[in-house]
Amino acid sequence: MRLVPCPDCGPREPGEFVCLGDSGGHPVGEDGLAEALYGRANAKGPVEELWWHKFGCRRWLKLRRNSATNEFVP
Amino acid sequence: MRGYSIWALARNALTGHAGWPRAWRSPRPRERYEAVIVGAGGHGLATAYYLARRHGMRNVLVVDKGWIGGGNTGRNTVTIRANYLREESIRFHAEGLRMWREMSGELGFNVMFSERGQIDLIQTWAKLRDVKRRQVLMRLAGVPFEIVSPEAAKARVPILDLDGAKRFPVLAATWHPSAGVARHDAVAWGYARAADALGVDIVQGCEVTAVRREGGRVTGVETAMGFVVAPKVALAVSAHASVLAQTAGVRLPIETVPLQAFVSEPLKPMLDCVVNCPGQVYLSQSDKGELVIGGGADGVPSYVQRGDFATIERVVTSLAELFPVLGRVRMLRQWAGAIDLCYDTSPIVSKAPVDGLYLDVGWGSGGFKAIPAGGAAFAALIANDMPGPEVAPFALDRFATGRPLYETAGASNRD
Repeated sequence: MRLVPCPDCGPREPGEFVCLGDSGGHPVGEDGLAEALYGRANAKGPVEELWWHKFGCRRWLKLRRNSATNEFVP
Repeated sequence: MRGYSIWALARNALTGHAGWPRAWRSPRPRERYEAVIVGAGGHGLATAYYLARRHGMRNVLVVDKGWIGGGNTGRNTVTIRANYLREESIRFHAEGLRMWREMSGELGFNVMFSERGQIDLIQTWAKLRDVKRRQVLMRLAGVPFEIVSPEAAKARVPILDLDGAKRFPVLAATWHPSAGVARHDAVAWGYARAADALGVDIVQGCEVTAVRREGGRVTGVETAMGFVVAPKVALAVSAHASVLAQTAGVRLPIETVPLQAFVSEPLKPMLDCVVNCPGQVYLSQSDKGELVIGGGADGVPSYVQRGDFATIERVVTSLAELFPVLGRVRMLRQWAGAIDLCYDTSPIVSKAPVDGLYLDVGWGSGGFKAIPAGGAAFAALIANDMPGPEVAPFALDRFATGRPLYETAGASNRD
């Protein structure tokens, strides 16, 4: 795993963060509630995620990462 | 298929081992099959074997982008056990244990199954409550599993240091005598050889890029070697389950997460059972003397088969606390398998919402032990187009119908 680019603290160890997953939200659509609650895109490639800098500035970040390489992309 | 035996070994030893036949063919895929199984890991190969053996379906293709058993079948820590929480899971895995005992004989291939028992060290009150519940459910299912004292665990595992566990004192332990380990490659090779002998085509190094459908029906798969027509397509691909299912328009409640493992330098025999500290570390000793060590799943979803350092720190910290004798042992290898973790950490063995598409996914951290029972159940599902009672609870629609099977006994479960 690469260092996580925190805008406040700079590049930091991933162990300081909690990855909170897909930032897209799960709106209830035509597929119904179950799909909104349990369905996952689980994309291989660029994903946009929420990260919480738990052991740092405690900010919530929206970061783009490539799930096939673990590289963070600006 | 010529059987392996002491006579064959002696005969070939005298002739310079030049006479061993290939264990399986390497055919090119034909244009049309009765069924295509994507993924030549333990599950895919076992499914093909049981399809041919029990259901008479021999016109079957097993296709893999890598090599036989090169994914999570070759990357796991080979623990085989049945000490789960859900009645459905316990019964399923208890049947699995029975099949493991007979596997070498049935396949004519030594899978080196060793029923050596498992000790769980319980270090949190939450986990203690969980194993008390599991003890009751295991008893109801008739599978031996009991809570024992930390001292009893120490007597069974002399390298354990109960005073070393300062952060998380060992509150209790559990003993699961029918757990064991097996040789992972041999399991894949044994099923591959037996399936091939029954006429199943196994194609390695051929990536399936998409499942093709017309209307509500599957018509075949797009592969690197061209389109293959098949009325039945079965996915047994772990990490890439979501990616492939989405090419057929099916979204799964699955996240792909790295699960790490480590192997130490070879040591003298020091551990004759499996030891698991839930959520922290688990280990067993291989026949070569290496300690095979695993931890919980990483916290970040990823398809990278490497894993993050935070997990390594967590695993090694627990290992050094509980087994200080291993403090200076060097690790030879570290790797990760990309596991398909289902929302409730129970598997999905199910028909998909598309006719002719079958799913054997979401095994998460528990796929290896489920190879025989999972393969047999998946084969029955494909052949009959209907799940048997043993896997009916693991249907994909259990989320929509409000029947998820939350499990607490997987390596990926945290307190």
